[in-house]
Amino acid sequence: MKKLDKKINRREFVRLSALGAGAAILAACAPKAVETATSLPAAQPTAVPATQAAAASAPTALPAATAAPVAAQQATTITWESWGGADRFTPFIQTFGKTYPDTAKWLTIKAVSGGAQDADMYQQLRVAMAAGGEELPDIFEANLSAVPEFAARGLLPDLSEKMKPFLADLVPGALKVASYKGKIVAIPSQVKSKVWYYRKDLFQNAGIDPAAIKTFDDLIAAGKGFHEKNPDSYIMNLSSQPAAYWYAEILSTWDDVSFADETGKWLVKDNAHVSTMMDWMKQIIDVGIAYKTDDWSSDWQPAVAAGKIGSFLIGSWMTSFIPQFAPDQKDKWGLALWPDFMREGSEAGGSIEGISSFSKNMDAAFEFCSDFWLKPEGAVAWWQLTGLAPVTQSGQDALLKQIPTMQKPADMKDSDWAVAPINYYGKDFMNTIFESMKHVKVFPYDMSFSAELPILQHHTEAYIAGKETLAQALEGTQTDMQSQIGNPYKI
Amino acid sequence: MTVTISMSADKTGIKSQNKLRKKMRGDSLVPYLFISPFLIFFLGLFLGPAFYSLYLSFFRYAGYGASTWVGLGNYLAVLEYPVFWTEIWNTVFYWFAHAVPMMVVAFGLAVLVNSKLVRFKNIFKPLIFMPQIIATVVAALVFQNFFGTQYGILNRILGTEIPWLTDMNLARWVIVALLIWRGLGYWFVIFLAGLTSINPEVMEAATIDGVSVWQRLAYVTIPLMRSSLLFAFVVDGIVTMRLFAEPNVLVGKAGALASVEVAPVVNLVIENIRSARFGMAAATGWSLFILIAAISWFQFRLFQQEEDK
Amino acid sequence: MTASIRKLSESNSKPRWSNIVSKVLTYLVLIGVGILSIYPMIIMVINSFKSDQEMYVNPAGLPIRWTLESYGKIFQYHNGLWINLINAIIISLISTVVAVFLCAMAAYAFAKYRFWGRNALFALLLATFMIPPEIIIPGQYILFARLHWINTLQIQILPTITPVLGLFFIRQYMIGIPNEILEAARVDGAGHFETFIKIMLPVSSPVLGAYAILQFLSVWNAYTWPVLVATKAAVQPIMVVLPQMVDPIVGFLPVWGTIMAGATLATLPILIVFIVFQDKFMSSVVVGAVKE
Repeated sequence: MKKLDKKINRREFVRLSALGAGAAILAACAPKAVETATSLPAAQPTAVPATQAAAASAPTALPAATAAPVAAQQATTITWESWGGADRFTPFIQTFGKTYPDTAKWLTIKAVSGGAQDADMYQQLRVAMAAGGEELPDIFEANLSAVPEFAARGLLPDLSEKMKPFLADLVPGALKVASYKGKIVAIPSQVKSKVWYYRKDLFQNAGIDPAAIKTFDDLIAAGKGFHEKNPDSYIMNLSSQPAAYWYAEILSTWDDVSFADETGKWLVKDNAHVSTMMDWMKQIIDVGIAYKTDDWSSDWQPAVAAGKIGSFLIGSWMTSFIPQFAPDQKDKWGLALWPDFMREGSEAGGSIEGISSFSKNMDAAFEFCSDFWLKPEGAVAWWQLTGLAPVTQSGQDALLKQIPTMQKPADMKDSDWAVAPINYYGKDFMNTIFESMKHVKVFPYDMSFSAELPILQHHTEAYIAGKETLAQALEGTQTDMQSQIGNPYKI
Repeated sequence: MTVTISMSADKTGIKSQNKLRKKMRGDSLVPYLFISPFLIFFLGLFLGPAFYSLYLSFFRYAGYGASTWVGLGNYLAVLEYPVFWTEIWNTVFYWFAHAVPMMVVAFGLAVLVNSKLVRFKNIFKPLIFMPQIIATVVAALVFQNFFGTQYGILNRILGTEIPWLTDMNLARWVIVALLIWRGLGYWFVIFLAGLTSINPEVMEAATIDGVSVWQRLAYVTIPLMRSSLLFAFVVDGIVTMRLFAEPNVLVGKAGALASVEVAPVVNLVIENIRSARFGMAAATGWSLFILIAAISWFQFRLFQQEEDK
Repeated sequence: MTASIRKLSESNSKPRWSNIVSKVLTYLVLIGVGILSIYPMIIMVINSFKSDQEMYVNPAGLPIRWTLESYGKIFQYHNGLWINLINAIIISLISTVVAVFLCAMAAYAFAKYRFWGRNALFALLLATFMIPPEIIIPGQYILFARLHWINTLQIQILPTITPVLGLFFIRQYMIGIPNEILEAARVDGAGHFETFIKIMLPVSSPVLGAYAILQFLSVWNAYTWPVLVATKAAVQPIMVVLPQMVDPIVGFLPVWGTIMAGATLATLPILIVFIVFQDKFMSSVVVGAVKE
């Protein structure tokens, strides 16, 4: 070892350790992993037993939209986020391209999945806002239940001006779904009416007519009879942890169901409707008329395919899922309105496509949304993909005109046609859906619904499991909401 | 540190005196220089955020926009929240339910493997340790596949449809099983090392005097290992307070959180963050800390007692 | 004396019945535990050779149809699960190297130098060991968010690079290194840093290697923090992705074949390293824990 002067050594040491620290910092600040373009892979055969085909991309029988020629725009890419599998969007985006080829020339849409359920996606959005808003998509789908929260948080801009030309055309309910405090804050894409999907053959076998069920007791009796005559089957499914949308579906039947008033006073404990809802759920499970599996659990779809579930009291969005779950039950499913005693209301009111206030491409995003959901050509194309009714009158009229003449398009695969709703249910299914939209009532969500719901669920589930009495469950719900949320109208 | 002054330095003259003084002052900076990278990162990445979390816990804050002072409001809300206490109970349950059998079995295995009865130590040792190599998440996923209701391996073998993971009363025991399965190897190896470190003469003495195996175990081995056992149990407890991956990956659906009935306390922290309630999340975390501090204090006292013996 | 020796030799030469029984029982127990230990791994590997569809039909047995399909799906899922594997490797490696270096430097100072505040500072650092990282997550999240570092690799590395545990382990070991070696180097005129690099590090390599293993495994295993801050596929490590792998269309059905294939790929390298370096792995667990 050379004899080195200590002074130089110290300098050297400082230099070296600075280098070391610097290297550490550099290593830490390594450039982000190269983002591979999230290009959508070609639709693949899915990995589900009792095969289901991918949602078909049904090219419309309509001529391409004759919109006023769009001025040549700069190539723009927008991100569109929803929940569920991202591959689900592929046919949607392709169809949009076919319906509006001029727009598709400059507009590219990238699909992003925010998680398995809507609640997961909302979490992503909240956390992305805390991270400064960069991670937010341009467009995100959301259920009405989330609109007050995101509007209050400033994530949804005021679109009243942009929406003016379309206002007169919206069906009743659609406007409600997209509004917050008198302003229009999103594009309504779905009005989720309550639809009763049922196995015609199994109901006939048990001698049940859906229209004849008028009271809760009628439903219970029907359920018992159903299981007797169809021993391998149950009239519906409901687990001891009911899906989140059940709560709103039932509660929206009535008018005075706010959890709290604007001053922050909680009203849950003494609300007869809340206790009725809890009670109904418990009875359905205790009596044993329901197949005990959660919606969206990994057991659910196989149960449907195996014929264990005889009907769904659910929202109109289910139209496109049943064919995918059970393609070989074509023509066996019918649609009806919910039983009279819970006919009114909706499942979370509806969905919107929200344009993020942070988006750098708001105009392009609005164009995409209004094309797809507010213009009749797009609305009909959307319907062909998803079975979801148009939210505009012109869309509904255009659809009604077309339905009688609809055939399998020449370039559609047989397997895709087999699960196309119009083929699967028969040509008149839309009549029921339009009818159901007339009974839509919207639950008065406040901006803390996402915190209220788990508390409500927790106590309802405890009541169902017998761990709490009804009084305790109501009391507990109110107490917890009070202590954990405070005033639900404040963020 | 002994300052080794180079013998070749010129000691005469003021210049060299100054040089020497400078060197000594310069030298006394050295340890600080060695520590500073660690310390700087530590302050910035750990202590800083820790204090910021503490600060946050007194506010209602969504991570952006306005924040509202609530004082101890968050803490009160946490302590009033039945879900918090359910999850604390769950976490403590997981600690005891897995640690007790695991320590007993790990210790027993260590005794067996250490004993003269067994050859092939070098095969059994890595075999028993192997689960530690498997990542937590991977282990939880394999268990999920094994205990699935409709498509699980165990149910297929038994021909049943037992809802191992959907009935929360069963699910909590599956979680315990996972914790035991994975943790066994770790403590086994530690106990084994502890056993081999026991003075062999002590063991021989016990053997020659005609003492039976069981008696030797009870009166010699265990007392000697007592402090290690207690220490291990409490350390395991502190680690278990941080439990998150196992219950959620095992019972939660595709990345979602597990239901409250089987959730550990950390779930509440994460849930609050996902609901953009950072103040509440921080308060929950610090409430958990108080619990951990209590356990650590208890461990410290225990250790002192053992040391004193 | 002779009596007891005779007794000893007697008891050793006659194979007593209970001796054999205990031996057999012991081996049975050990073999049983051994099988239980590796059974899940065997399941994982066997199931990785089944297709996703088959996993819903035949989860328990040997594959009806052995296939590499699930491994193939890895390249399609999220545009390539191997990116996630690489992310995990990068994160764990960088974290290990940086952490070991930082800890070694600081441990050296605490072990071999006397300076004002040494003991107090060390005690303080040890005290922070009681604070579990989960508590800090809210504060960390916001801090990193302000830096726009959400969904990056560095946000997953940085919180792991100052492990007090490592500092503790390494210092313990370094205390035991005789000072003469260091002084000899200093006498020869080596600077402080040079002494550290050329003498201390090599001499400490057993503990450094041992701790490196612990650190690597700990970061490789990490879940709580990464799952919160890494939501984009490009930066997610494999451990975050595996539980979220569901059917791309339906969106709620796990694709078990692909999951098992991914899990096998994530496990195999470490398993191989373990088999080769068994003793190092197991002694790393013991280092510092039993040594008193």
